[in-house]
Amino acid sequence: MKPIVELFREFAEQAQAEYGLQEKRFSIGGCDVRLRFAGDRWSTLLTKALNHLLHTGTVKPQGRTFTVSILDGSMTPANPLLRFYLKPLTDFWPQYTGPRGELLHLHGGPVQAFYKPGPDHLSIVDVESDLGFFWKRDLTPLPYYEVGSPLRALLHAWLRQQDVQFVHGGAVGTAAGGVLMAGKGGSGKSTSALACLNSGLQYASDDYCLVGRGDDRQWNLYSLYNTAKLVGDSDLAKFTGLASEVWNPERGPDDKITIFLNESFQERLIPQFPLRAVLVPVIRGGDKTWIEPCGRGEALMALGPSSLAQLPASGRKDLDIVGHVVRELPCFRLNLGTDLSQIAPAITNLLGQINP
Amino acid sequence: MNQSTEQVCFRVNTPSVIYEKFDDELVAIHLDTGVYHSLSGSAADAFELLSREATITELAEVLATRYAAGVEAIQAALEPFFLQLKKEDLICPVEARTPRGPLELKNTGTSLEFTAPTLEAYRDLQSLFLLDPVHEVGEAGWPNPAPGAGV
Repeated sequence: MKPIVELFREFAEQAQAEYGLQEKRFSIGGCDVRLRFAGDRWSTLLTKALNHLLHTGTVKPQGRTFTVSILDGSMTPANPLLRFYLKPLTDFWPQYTGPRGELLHLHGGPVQAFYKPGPDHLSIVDVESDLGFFWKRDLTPLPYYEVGSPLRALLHAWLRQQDVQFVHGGAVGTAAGGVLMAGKGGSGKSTSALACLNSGLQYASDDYCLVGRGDDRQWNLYSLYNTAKLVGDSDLAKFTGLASEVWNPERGPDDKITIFLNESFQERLIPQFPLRAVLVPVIRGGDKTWIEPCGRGEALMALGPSSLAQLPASGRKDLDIVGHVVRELPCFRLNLGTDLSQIAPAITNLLGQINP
Repeated sequence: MNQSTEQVCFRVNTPSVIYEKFDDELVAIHLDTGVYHSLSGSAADAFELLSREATITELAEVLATRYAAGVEAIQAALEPFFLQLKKEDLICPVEARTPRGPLELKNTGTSLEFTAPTLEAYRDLQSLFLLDPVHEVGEAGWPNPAPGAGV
């Protein structure tokens, strides 16, 4: 086992013994993921977005199990080597990191390691031993985007090895099939997904979700985070029943409104569905929403760069998989009007035509 | 671009640059700068050929088999395109050429209308691709995050 991984494994066992082990298991992208906390400081906050995927005990995990230990700077590693490593790393991180936060001296082969200043955390994953570590330097609050989309770098790096791919898009559908709505921030993904919340379609995602091939080689879409994020109060006002569910009513001026849908809309969530089409939302003037075919290049431009952007381990393989998705599925432009009630019927109508 | 530059062999700047091509459209992403690009038509063809290493002259000769334009006209149109590619760090010169077979285009079709290749650059995701301490750290200084950093 790689030295840094072994050091963190020892540190995790020590902290879990000292503060008490809390473990939560999730089915993420069809894979078994265990989050192990030392004490209860982070166990609620870091799992709010994942709670809809908690193992119920009825699902038998398939394949490998990813075990992620969550630690923080209030816990002191017994091993002096690790103490001496973490101190200069956090004080002088620009000397250690590449342009995307990769820790240059650790990164490569089966081990991937990233440091993120600001929220100030270190993520290490070893895809050979299926171990991950998330270490937050201090006890300052996690920003809303870390609570809304937790452990992104770790989950992406490991799931990709299991051929389960992060994609940046909203997703709605039914057990018979659904759509992925691709696009960068502000393209209408969240609004479109939330507009389907009280329709016959179920909600899988408004930003990050997962795609992977099923046993039949067809693409499945997996829900990842049950988080809905909206830019401001005017967006929130478009949706009845959400205002009382806002997790961060006291927020910074640039923070997005964050809602955990699992807490009041659990029955409206869907963990996975067969993926039938890629939609590219485009905000239009006028009331009307309509769907029309679009080119695969347009779909790739909408899905590819934004899917790779916030994932420090992303690269060639990610774009390959996104390319396969776009190549193998029909692609459409979702022209969005201001009358949000037209969005769900338009998607339902499309699915009626393309679902087998 | 002078004669010697025309004979310089270039390649796509892998692994920093990744790309995917569908029909006549190509999307390229520079992972180290966070800039992504859209190319179509002759630009997409030229970029794909550069993955196998080529000089401007070699590219022009191959493109002339597909597009209704002469080698010299295509070569002239490629020169400013190459400048754009180099400016965006999407291609780099090849020190020692790798032996390869003749260049050829995968796409079918001949005598297509030739339009000078162009490169569109999109920089709107740069702050998300890159670790940017200026944006990650707020006015209160390290280690306080800037509002919205990493969103």
